[in-house]
Amino acid sequence: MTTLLRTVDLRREFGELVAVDGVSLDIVHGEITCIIGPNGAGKTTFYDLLTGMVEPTSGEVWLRHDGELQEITGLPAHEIADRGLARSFQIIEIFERLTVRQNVQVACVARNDRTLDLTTWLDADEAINEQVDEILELTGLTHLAEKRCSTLSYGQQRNVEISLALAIESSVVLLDEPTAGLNPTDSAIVVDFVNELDERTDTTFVVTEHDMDVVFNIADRIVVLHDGRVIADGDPGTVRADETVTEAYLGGSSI
Amino acid sequence: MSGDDEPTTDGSRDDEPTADRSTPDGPDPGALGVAGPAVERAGHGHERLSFTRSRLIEEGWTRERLLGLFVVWCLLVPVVLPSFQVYLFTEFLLLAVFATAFNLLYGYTGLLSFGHALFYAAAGYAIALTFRELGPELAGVLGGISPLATLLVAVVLGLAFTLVIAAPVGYLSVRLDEIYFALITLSFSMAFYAVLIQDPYGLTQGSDGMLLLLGTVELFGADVALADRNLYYYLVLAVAGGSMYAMWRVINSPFGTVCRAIRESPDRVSALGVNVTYHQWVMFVVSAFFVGIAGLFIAPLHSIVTPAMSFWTTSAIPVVAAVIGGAFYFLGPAVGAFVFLYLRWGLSRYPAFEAHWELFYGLVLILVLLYFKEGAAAGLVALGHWLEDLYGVYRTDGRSAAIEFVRSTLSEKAAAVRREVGRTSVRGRRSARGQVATAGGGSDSTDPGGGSDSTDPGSGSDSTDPTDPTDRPSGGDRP
Repeated sequence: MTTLLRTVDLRREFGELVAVDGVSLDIVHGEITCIIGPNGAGKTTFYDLLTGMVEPTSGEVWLRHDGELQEITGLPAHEIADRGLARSFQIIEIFERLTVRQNVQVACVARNDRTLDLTTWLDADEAINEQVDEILELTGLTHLAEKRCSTLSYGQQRNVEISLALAIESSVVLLDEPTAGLNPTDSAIVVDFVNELDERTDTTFVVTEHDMDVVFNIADRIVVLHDGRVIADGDPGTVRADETVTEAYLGGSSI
Repeated sequence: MSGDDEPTTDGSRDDEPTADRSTPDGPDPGALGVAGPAVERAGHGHERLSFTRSRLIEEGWTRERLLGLFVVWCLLVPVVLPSFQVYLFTEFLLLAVFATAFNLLYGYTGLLSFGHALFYAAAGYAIALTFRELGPELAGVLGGISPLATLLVAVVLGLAFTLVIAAPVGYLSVRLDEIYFALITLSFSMAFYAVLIQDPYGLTQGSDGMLLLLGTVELFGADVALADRNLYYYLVLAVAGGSMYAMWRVINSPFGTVCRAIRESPDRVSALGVNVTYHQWVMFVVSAFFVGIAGLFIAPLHSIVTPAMSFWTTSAIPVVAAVIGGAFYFLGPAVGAFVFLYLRWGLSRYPAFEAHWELFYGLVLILVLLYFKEGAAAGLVALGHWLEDLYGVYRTDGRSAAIEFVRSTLSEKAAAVRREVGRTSVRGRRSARGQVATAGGGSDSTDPGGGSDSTDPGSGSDSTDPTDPTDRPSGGDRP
């Protein structure tokens, strides 16, 4: 049970609004943690705090890097990503006018610290393109490799989004509502996909979600956020039985 | 990847092994630098296209050949063109480098600089100062070959000076986004303009500018004027060719691909562990470096440098060229520079137009923004596709079918233009604004699929007509 990611009393205010209110969590290796909560519970802000895209008002974030937990609070986003914390975005952020292959190439170039290489012909670089092919194979995008992302379906774009997060080979991947905007069939595909990736890779996944079917299908552990606070934390069975959760989440009716 | 690919990949795969992957070739006039793995285009159902494309390649119409023809044309320019035209073509080559270098930052990184004249002027003044200050000194030491030595020293000093300016200016500028970035770069170039014109240290001769004469080299008893029009043309051809090739390599490098990704989504790139600002800064300096090369060699061509080199109207040249030509094609800005320069030359031949040439530019820009959403380069690509289609029809169904094809496509386009004009009053303004604002917007150069989305229905072949005249001189490669 190695802790990979730890927050200590993490807090973020936007003016009057307290988006994240004193969250202390340990994310442990090999466990799929689902962070759930109604809209506005602070899930995306929590991710933004972890990944350095938003600075916390107070509190600390620690990430395991080179074998020990190191504080990463206040580091710029790219350094945090570089130390092994990757994320996907709820609103798809991929390189739309590039092909799927080029998208993954960018991530692999970043993984290999080759971003300042001005002279190599990228398409002829075997080392990088081998890694690209592996990622495409893993995420089942090989047949779409030469397509421009803007021509892909929404579900396929989600897949590219996840591929980018995976391609930099980080120890922890934060998925922000990976099934947002998908129909039930596509959602099911994504769920299977995350489960499969969890088995096939050494990556630890943290998933925010508000689709309960998804959550109970993939979570080893569920953390419930409400108004920026953790109101429940435990295995799916415990959380499902928790009355405060039912109260907060669905106004009393059971999950 | 032989000729019988799926129609969805539209035959573009055919030229991949020859042109894209295995031989990273220089700028390609024939295909307008449109390279890359996914050359898709609208109209996926066109099976004839892949047939035509592979057929044309079988018959030897590869990119290499088109590039070769263009090179041959360039080499023949001093032989076949009158002296003034050689001068004009030399200027075109340098403006093409200027605009393409600017576009490394605009089309390929998503930063619209409105102050690239700064580096153009810095390099120009550096060479002029070197010749004035060091020229006589070196002549005393080296004798006959001193002008050549001075030129070499000036190139080194000029580029060094450009980099020394570009590094801090870029460092401060890339901290800002979008319009603020444009404004701060504009401010730097106008500050340099003010320094040049006020001339506080008595170096640059204020608004008069400085004369720059390269001089004559004595080689083996013969006198060779460095500024000789034909000799200088070949020098510029070599420099411009080398620069274009170097820039082509840069945009296809890992760095160039990361920059294109930054254009698409800086947040995403930063979430992949890449320092976005730092990479924008590096690209800024690279871009300034190549602008410096253009500035270095334009100065001797004009024989004078003036503060106007750093004025905002000079900064507007590559912006206009990139917009006219198409910022998302590698050779788009070069095509735009061609249109810019030759249009001005054409207008200058008619005194009535000459006095108001800016007005005509305005009209051209309006036309481009309204109807050629991705610039003239996209129009040329569409024209190329159309010619391929035509050739395919001719080869499969014969001459009368080909004539029928011309008639039907032209009338389709005419109808499309009429519809477009009908809607322009409302929609045109909006799309024009969109094109300027979304610097990193449109499709990608190595990926004309995006071009086709919008080029095909409206601006596709209706753009062929207006681009036609520009196509002929620039594509002198066509037999």
